Amino acid sequence: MEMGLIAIGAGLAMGLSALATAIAQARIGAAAVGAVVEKPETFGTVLILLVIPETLAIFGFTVAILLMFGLR
Amino acid sequence: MIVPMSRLRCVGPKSLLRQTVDLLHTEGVVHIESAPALGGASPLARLAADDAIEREHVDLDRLRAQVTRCLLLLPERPDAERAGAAHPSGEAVTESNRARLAAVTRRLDQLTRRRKLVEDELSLLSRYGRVMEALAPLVRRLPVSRDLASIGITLERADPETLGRVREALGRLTDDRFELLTAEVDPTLTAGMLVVPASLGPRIRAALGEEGLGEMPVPASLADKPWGRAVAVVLNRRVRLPAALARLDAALQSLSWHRRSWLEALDRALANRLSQIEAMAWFYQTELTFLIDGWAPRDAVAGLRERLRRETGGRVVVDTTETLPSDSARVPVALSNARWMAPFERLVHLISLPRYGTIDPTPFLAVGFPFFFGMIVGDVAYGVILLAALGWVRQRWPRHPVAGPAVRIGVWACAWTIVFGVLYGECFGTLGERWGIAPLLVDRLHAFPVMLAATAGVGVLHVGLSIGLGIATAVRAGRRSDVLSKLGGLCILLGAVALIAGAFRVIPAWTRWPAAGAAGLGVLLLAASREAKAFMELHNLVNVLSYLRLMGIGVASAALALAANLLGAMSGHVLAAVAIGALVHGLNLVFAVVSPSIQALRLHYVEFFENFFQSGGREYRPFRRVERHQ
Repeated sequence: MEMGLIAIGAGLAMGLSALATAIAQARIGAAAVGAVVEKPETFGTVLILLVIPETLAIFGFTVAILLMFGLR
Repeated sequence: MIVPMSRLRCVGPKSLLRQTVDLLHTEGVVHIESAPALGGASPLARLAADDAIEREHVDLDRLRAQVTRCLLLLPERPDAERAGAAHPSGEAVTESNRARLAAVTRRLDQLTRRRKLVEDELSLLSRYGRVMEALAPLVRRLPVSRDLASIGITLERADPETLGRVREALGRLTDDRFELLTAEVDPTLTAGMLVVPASLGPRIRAALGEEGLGEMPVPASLADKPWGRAVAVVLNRRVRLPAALARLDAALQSLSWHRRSWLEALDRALANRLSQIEAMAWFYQTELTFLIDGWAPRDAVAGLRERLRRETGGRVVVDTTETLPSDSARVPVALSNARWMAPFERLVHLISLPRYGTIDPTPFLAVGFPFFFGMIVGDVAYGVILLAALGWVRQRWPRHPVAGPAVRIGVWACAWTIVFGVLYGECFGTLGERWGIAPLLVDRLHAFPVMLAATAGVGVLHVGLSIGLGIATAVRAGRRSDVLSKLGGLCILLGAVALIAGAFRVIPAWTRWPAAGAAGLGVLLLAASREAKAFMELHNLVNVLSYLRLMGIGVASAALALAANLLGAMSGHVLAAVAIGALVHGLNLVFAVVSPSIQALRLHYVEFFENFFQSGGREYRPFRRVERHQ
């Protein structure tokens, strides 16, 4: 039972943070494509802005791993 | 490394301007400054182009547009030599060159016009060829008379009911004075020949569209011929036109073979002379002298000065001034690195050039990017396959400006992929176990805590290095508060890492006191910097966590490889297992190219560059001749 709850918690931590990242990157990505089409030289800058929200997923991943191994 | 630059001013009599410009253009080391700081009441004014120069500019522009048009219309010569010395600019506009260009243009226009006519006709005939073939037997049955008009029509999806309605409509329009012969082209298209009194022809044609019928167009040259003759000519031309098109293509190829290299050399010569004229807009003058303000690599100034002295008898001089820190925003930046690092300069260009006087991040990218890529992908087989793919790309596009550096970067990335593949014991994921390949260092699918600690450790080292470079940059710039805040950030980072390591018993427990002391010292240093933004240095602790993606994405890749092997094994048949494995491993390989590249770049651009990289460098664009056609 306990392991099951831990697994659910880890899944929620990873899944919800990945969902948040996806929502953020979807909006940034759409704006980034528009910017790059008009000014191709901004490609490097928009690439950085696009990948910044991934830190949210990393936090979720860290929590999931800590749950899987820290609480066992 | 950022190439050291000198600011220079080239001064001489106006009579030597053309010769000086030619010489600077040939040397190709001076970046012309477009907005020199003249200061105060200056006797200098912008160099005004005289009428002769203006006329030459207009003439050369027109000639170059003509040459560009010819080059666009001529087919490429993939086997041709592109290198070759450009004509000296003075020879570009000789009378013989103009006459030759006019002759080439005339011949090219003639061939392209005829080719377009043939192509258009062939396209029309291809669309209606089948319809014409279906109509040919009907046409033979047509009565030939000046009092009758024959109209070719097409009907889509003509069932008997639709044809009945069409006949009714035609009967109303013509008082039943019509004949409609139909033949099926295919299940969706029916062709028909409609014969009506000639007087009703225009009215019927106008009404066709209202009844959903399409009139079949006939090439303009056959519009006045009877249908029988027109169909026969069309079918005959459909057979002969491809040969005519091939002859015209051969003529264009021959023209390209004989003239393309000459056109490209002429284009280069015109481009070089035009760039000289356009650069003059940035020159300055007094009543008797000219002045050219610019920048050049420090090592090249002596050679430039000597050549000017030799060729102008010392009448044109070059004066250099010291580059001040306040000039850093204006000094053009050129990167110069060891040959194996040079391709990684493209990755720096992707984001922005560093400002002059700061640190060139290319060497760190050259080491870090392939290392991180390899750490994420970490599979011997994937590394070998990617190397083979890079070899093919290099062979296919040997001199491509983007593929060349990408291949050289990729080779380093693949080398580290193979190294980490050996350390992880992975070859097509866990398939290596069957061949006796065991992990030399860690099995990353079963050692998550070890991988977490390792990637966090990589993060601490990388961010620590970044802070160290930030300290060096701040020391060089003389910014005391930045030095204190960055030192404070480094102390806090190391102290926090030591505390966490002590809590997990990675290091002895007694180290917690020095670690706490280091963190406390860091806080004091941040406060001593007396800047609120100094506490942003704490962000480095979060940046370290970002490096956990090296583990997360790498383990995901390894898990997908495991899934490929398990799915293949479940099929129970060797061929099916190979096919399934190849498909899923192939998908994993595609992910392995895209995602690790972006993540490795992101860790450099965001977490690593944050502490020391100063963007906004101005690109070094020397005033130089074009030697190869672009």
